[in-house]
Amino acid sequence: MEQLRITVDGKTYNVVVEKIESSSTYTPAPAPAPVFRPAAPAPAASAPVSAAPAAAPISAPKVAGAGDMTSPLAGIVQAIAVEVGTPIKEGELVITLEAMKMYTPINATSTGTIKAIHVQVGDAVEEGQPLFTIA
Amino acid sequence: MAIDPTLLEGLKQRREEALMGGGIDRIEKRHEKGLLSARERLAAFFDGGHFIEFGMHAHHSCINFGLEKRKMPGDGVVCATGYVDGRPVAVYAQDFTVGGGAVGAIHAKKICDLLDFAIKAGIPVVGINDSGGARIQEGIEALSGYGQIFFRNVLASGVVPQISIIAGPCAGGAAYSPALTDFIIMTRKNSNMFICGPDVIKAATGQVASLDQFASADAHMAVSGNIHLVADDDEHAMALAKRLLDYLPSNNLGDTPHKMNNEIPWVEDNVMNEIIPADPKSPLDMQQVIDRLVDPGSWFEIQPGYAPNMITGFAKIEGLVVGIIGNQPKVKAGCIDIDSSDKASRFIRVCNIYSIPVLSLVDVPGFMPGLAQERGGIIRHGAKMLFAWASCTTPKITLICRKAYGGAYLAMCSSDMGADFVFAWPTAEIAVMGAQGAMKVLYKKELEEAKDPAALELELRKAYTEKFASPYQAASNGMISDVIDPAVSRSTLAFAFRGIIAKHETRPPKKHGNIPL
Repeated sequence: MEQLRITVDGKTYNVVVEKIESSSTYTPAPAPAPVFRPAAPAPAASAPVSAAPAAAPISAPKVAGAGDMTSPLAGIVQAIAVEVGTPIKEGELVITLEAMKMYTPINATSTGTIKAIHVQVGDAVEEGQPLFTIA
Repeated sequence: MAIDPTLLEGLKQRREEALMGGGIDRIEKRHEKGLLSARERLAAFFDGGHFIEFGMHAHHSCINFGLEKRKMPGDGVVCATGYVDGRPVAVYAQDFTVGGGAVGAIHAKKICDLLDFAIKAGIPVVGINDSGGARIQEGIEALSGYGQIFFRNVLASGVVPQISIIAGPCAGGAAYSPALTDFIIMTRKNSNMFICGPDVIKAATGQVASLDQFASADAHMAVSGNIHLVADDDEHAMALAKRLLDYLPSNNLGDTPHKMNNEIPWVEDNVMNEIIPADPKSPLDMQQVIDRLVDPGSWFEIQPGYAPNMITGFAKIEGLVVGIIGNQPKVKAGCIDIDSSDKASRFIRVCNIYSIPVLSLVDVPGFMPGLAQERGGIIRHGAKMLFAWASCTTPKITLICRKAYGGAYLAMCSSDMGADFVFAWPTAEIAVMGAQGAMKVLYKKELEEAKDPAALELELRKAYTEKFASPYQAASNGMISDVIDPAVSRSTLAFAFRGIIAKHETRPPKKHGNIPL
């Protein structure tokens, strides 16, 4: 038996999972893909060193796929240096984040074209959230 | 009365047989893969390719499962001493061509004898790991052999430098001997290191994972942090190990290999001022600062791919060997997190063991905020840095480049934590917290009651910044030795280190402190 803690829309559920049969004899009905929403950001006052204003909108984190560049830390999108369709070389600046009183440059890790930009200036992003896709 | 020539002939025959290891076929197969044999690795390591072997004629003692009929020259490991840059070093190299380099009782005894010899002689030990693991036929004897090696690794720890090279498979218990040593160098191709392999992981947990994901050199450098350097191939691994020795004394009582000049030139380097961004929010590239502080070509970064928000490495400043710990604001804003704490603490402790002066380069906004950090034990991990600095008795110099906030400032070795000199650039900001956070604590009530809170906050914040976003408050309290022009940083540090190099500090006797692990 395994205990899982699942948070849905900010509500926490403790779930006990028991494996009854091996998968060879028991096929569960296909479940609809669950939709996860991020937890609300902690109020800035409780973290005096955090630079993130609490009012900033949080874009829904998605699961990173191939070619996706993810955010190395939580912060605010300060500037976007490119547009969709811009050819980009490895090492070139794509997005500037602001976090912890500091700009963090997010550079391209491969050469190609900007296929998608998943955030807007002013967005609050979480660590690991996809920022842009290079193809 | 000359020697009986048959005796010499017999010796020659035995030596030739032993030197062939697992045979020419197996050695040639390695060459096709771009790998060296065990003895070729030793030859590549030692000055002039010369070394003295211990236990060339050793042979296993196993009589189980038909092993009594199998010959295993040297029992699968070559142990030797020779010279590196004129200094004696002990090296063992597991011989994969002999029974897959598997560890049996005699194999382990040879390694233990070499470790005992190195401790007695006070010379560094390099272990070249290339082994299929325990020799199953020997059963618990093999396991016991590992235990005896581990015990000696720990005895030697802190006495003589121990460097492990992973140049082949290194699985299960075998991985724990390298893990007990000071530095691990791993070759990018043909080597892997893990406790449980893909099959065991799948059987136990159902997870499907490839060796590349968790056992390769790149995975260990970027993710687990288990290793310190990645080598392109065998020769490169040997070269990296030799380079490491260039910064280390032969033992904990030996002289650190400083090569000091008689005079320290006083040089103004104006480029240093040009690389400091005017906007305090634009990150300073600490790597560029390091490159301008150290002797050209002397920078040797340790764990370059792990927790890059903290830079660690050895260098020379006017010939003086130093260990450098630096925040890298370009990555994660230079925050201290769990991984960077572990990385820096271990590096500081290595410097302390081998009497290497330490330079701390500070540009840190704080500890990394976040649920994962708090739940992951950033308190315990960050405390390692405080513990490492306070217990380090070698010369310690701190240069505050820009931000030095809160507990992170102490974790980068303030004067309170035992820094012998603390220098600051005029760009330094030394405060308990940033202006934005401080407003909410200091003026919460005033701001709530104000008619125009935004204007009041701006005014109050300006006053706070003027008072604290400078090095002068700390300098007026005697927490800073001097505020310096960045252009003279290199010369100032060279002067200061030279002045404190003979420092000798003693601590109350105890078994050992209790560093939070």
